[in-house]
Amino acid sequence: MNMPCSGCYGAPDGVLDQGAKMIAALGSILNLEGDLTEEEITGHTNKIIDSIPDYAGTFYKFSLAGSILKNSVRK
Amino acid sequence: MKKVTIDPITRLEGHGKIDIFLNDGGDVANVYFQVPELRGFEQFCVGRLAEEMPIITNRICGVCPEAHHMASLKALDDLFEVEPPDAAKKIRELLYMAFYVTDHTTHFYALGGPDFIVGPDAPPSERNIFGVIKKVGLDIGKQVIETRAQNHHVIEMLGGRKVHPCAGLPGGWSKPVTEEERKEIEAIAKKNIEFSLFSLKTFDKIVLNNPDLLELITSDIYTHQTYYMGTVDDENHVNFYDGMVRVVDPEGKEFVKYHPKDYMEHIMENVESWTYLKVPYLKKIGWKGFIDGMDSGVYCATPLSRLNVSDSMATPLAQEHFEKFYETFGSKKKNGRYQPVHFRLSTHWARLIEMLYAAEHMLELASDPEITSPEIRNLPSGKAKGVGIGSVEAPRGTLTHHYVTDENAVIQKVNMIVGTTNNYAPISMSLKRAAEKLITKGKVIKDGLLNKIEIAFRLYDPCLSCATHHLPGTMPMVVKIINSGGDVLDTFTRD
Repeated sequence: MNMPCSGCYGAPDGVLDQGAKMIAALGSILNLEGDLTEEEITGHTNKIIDSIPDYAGTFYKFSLAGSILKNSVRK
Repeated sequence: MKKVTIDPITRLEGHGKIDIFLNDGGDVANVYFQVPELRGFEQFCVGRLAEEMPIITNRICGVCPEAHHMASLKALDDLFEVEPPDAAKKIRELLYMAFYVTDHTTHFYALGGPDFIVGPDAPPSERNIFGVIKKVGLDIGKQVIETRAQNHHVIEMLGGRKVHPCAGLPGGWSKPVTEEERKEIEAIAKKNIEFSLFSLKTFDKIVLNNPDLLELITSDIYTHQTYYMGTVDDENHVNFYDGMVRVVDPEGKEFVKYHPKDYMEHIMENVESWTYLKVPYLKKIGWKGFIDGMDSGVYCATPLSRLNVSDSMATPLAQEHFEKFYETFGSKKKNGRYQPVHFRLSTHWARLIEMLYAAEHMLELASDPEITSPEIRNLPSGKAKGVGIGSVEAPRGTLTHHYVTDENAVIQKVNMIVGTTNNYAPISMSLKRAAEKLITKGKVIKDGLLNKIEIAFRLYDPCLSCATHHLPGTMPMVVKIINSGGDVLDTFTRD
């Protein structure tokens, strides 16, 4: 339908928590190099997070009910 | 004071129950049609991106998600200040016509129609789709299923999914129509016209040729003189997808015609302590309670309402039946248009006329060379302006979506007036009227009560009606008669 996939089939195989996985993916592109203060790291991180309105709703769009956050996945 | 409770009456769109309060003399004092469930869509959409609203809000309903998808898209067009190309508007409307055919088919044959086709006094075990098939024949039953299947196939072709379309975008549509698809849809539209004409013929044969049923339709129990609302095009034809909202008074005079964006200037919502559903009314008339008449702000938005606010239909066959409708009920023309018909049970007939219009218009759109144009999207140029309002005619009434956002198009506030909500006051009034005829001086006509009340609210085709003819034909209703001391005097259930 020329519409981008937004994950309505849930988390891919092998992914326990889709939202956490997305946070990890974002962490890998933070590109924090050199000696940075904690404030600089927080500022840089917040800048990325602030660029995503409704990050919880977006990252857990179809998977919150089965996420760790919901405490419905127990091993 | 006694209290009669009918609970539950619904399954699909939340729960509903009916409380009938009797006065000390044993007559009906009040009837409360309650919707005690809070779903909270308007709240949990807050914080979401506006562009997701057509996908989120179409989950409000499994029967009319197409209507929510369209109203939401139009609200986004407004929010992002972008006008879809003509081809995109036509694709949206084409899908919407297929939806109307399937939705009205469902109501006539599976939900409301059994009351007439099988008969209002038939046992509940027969007043369902199987009873209809038994009466009209197995082949017709197959046609009903085929019509629904084919039109849902069209919805899937155009919208990506059979039930909850996902192809709408602010400023247009995501996928063009191929020539092969166009031809297939064109053929289905032609079948839809034949099927709609057959359905009207069936109504004519079974209902209009039956003096008892005609008397029931025109009886005082099911008659209310209220204002009517519906969307019309530039020539005051019925229009489901776009136009101005027109309201006429009980005598048929235009009371107001406004752009859907201005709905708040004309509609107010009354809050009652006994229900979560708000009760809309005409702001300039005011809320005078659940009463008929020129001085009451109660309005009705149904297929009958849409016919009553229109001067005529936009397609030729539907126009023929439109004229027959008003002539049959003895409506006179005033200032070039028919006076309103107030018989609420005639809504079933009006629904079939709308189905024929939808089928004819579907054929017009499918035959339009522009429908296969690849020009289906105009990209929004700027940021969200902060407010977006969109409206369509859902099968059950005028549907309005109103979003307030920040500059990043994150939803701050949502207001939705859905089709059934418009008719909350009229439904309550019809229920009271039916109850008054069946409960007098403390005597309850048990056998007729459930049937007459079912018929009274089902004619509005509320989403609640889906439960009333669920297979195998029983309706989950329990009636309790409770005295002022809280003692249950009697309990009876539908079986």
